[in-house]
Amino acid sequence: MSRRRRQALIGMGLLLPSAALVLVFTLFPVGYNLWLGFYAKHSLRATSTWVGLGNYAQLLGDPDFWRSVWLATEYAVLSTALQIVVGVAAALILHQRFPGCDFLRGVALFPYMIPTVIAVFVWRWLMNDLYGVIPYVLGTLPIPMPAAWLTHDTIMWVLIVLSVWTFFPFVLVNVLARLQTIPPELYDAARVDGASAARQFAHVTLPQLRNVLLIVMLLRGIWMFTKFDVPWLLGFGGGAGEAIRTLPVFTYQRSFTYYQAGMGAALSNVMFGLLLMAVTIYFIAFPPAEEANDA
Amino acid sequence: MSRWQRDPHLQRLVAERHQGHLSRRAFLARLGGSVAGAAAAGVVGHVKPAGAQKKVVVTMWDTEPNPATRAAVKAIVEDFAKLHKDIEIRAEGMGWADMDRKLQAAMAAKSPPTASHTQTYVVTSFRAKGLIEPVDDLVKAIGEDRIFPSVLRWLKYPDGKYWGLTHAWGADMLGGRGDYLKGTDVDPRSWKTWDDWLRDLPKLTKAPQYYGLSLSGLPFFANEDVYMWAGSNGGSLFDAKGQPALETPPILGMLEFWKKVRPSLPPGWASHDYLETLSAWATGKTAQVYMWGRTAGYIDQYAPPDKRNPEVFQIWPKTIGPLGKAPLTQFDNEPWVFYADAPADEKAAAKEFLKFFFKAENYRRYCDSVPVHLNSIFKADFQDSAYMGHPERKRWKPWLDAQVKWVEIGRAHPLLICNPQDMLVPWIGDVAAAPILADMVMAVVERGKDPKAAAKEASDKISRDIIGKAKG
Repeated sequence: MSRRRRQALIGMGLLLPSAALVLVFTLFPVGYNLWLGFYAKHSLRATSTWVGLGNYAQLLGDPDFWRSVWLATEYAVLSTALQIVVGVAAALILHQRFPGCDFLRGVALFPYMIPTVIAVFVWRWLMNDLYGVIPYVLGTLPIPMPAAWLTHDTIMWVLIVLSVWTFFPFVLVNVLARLQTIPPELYDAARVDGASAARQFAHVTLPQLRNVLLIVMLLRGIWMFTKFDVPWLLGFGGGAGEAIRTLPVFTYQRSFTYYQAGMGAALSNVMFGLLLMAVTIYFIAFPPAEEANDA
Repeated sequence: MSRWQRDPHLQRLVAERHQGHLSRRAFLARLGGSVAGAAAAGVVGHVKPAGAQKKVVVTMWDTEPNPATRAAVKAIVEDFAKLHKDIEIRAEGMGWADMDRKLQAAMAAKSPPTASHTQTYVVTSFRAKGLIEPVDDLVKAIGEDRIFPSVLRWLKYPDGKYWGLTHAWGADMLGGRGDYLKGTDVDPRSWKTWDDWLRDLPKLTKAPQYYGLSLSGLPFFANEDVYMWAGSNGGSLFDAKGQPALETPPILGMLEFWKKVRPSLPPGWASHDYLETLSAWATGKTAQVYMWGRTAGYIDQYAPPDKRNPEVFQIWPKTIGPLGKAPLTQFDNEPWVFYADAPADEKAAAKEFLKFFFKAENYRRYCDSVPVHLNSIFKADFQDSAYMGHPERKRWKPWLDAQVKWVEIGRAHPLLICNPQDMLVPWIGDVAAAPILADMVMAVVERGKDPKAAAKEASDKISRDIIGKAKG
């Protein structure tokens, strides 16, 4: 055996455990899910029936499915946009040096660090119409307010605000890290040219943040579109929670409350396909800039 | 004394090394060999003949997670272990929602617990799918004739077999705040019909201080109100063939009634969970609530000390709809079931445990852990001064009497079972698990949809997504 061939074999041997893990824990579940989507399968039974594209055909004609796609999109777009706005604003503030800024940088991460279930249940208490502090305080304001917030009409807004509060620190950390690497000479040059603070932000800061923001927006968009725990814990998929029955919640309910494992698998595949399409369009619309442009 | 000091071989080795007869390398090599040999001999020496130490491990899941009941179960399990060294009982308590998910995962993995608590509709569904086994031998061993007929009624199927055994029973009640009647002309004892109730609900509402009635909008609990009100209006969710009967006049009437009740509910009722309704009643944020005996615990926890009594927290009558003849309430009979896929020796051991569990001295400890909620399945206990003389049962006697009365008149039915024949609908468990009925209510009450259209949509979903899939 030649030395080259022996080294190749050793290399492959070393890769084998990792490849096996990827195969078992990633490719197999994905493949099994794709396969399951072609079957009608009750979650509690071992048997299944081949239905081909039947599950997908049924979805296309199901208004509840389309509603869940719309709700997931609404939630993902609005919550991601607000996370970006709040995260960038917070990063700009915390980028300044002022007394207590280090403390504030630590505190700002708090919502992102606490377990989701705790965050959501705290918000459920805060927003409760009978005992909640927030409805009570808002009720004292001299402007018309809803009598309750966890209702069909308003629960989506609570979900969005709660999600922004929980996840904006991710944006903050990434943007703050990038802000700290922008060469100060760029700002000096802008000031020499007479640029106001707003123009410095528009023509220096934002272009420098572009790549970070594109990645953060993409990741947060994907994560919010597939987010299950927050909408589920806030609404439990029913009652007022019907108004936040996003695609992941709808998928979960098909699998575990309707016991339709095959349909649930088909929905997961659809969710994956939708995200794949969205990401492709996103990269066409916003191609990442060359690294050289950053500096 | 350490081991090497007792071992002559090791002592000789150490001595030879000290005296310089052995090199360091030779000493270590021989020491290693000795230790390995001793370890192997130790392992072999500790192995006992197969079967001599075999322990049957029994996994039992129940739905009574509160600390007092857990302590009682633990004590019973420990006492059982003293008598049965060859059986290990692993008893785990969890909430209903957790049980549902855990069971699904266990079933999918073909690794169910040995036995678990369930609801009657789950018994029906599992029985239809061949997932559980009859327990006639257990029921007979415990004493079929000692158990309330109203309990046995929901366990026996047309094949003449018992498919579960109730651990304890309870009946749902309408709780009302007696102190809120002052200054009103409301007399709940006069209530017979929905109209009577609707007439007085606004008088018991002083928003935002308190509301006339608290309901949970979450699917599991909305289902409870759907079938209780449907049954109280002379209807059923299923026809004689098990098909959805949601477009019938009693169900449409129930939906219309719900719309009329809505102004007396808290504005955020649709997101309230069941426990929130109980604490709302205990703290005075609502005048009425549908509740179980365990609510006494909430009252002791949250209500002002001077109000923790049945004069304030009263039981009020449930009413009938225009098409109904008698009100219907929920019967909580939660049977133990045994899973077909569990090993036979585990099931036999679990049955031994339950025979021990239902012995008077053990069972009494269990029931006493939540005295007004975990009601004994044995008729004689309700004539027994020791059982009835428990301080909590004496204190909340009106609650206990109300539950017994529901059972006596035969109008306490398990969840989703308006008519006894509904117990045989094979997909009833699937309907209970899905949010279809709650969605129907929300469509009408919260989104203003026409009841007929909402009922048709729900019927279509049951036919397509549940019955259609069950046949497929």
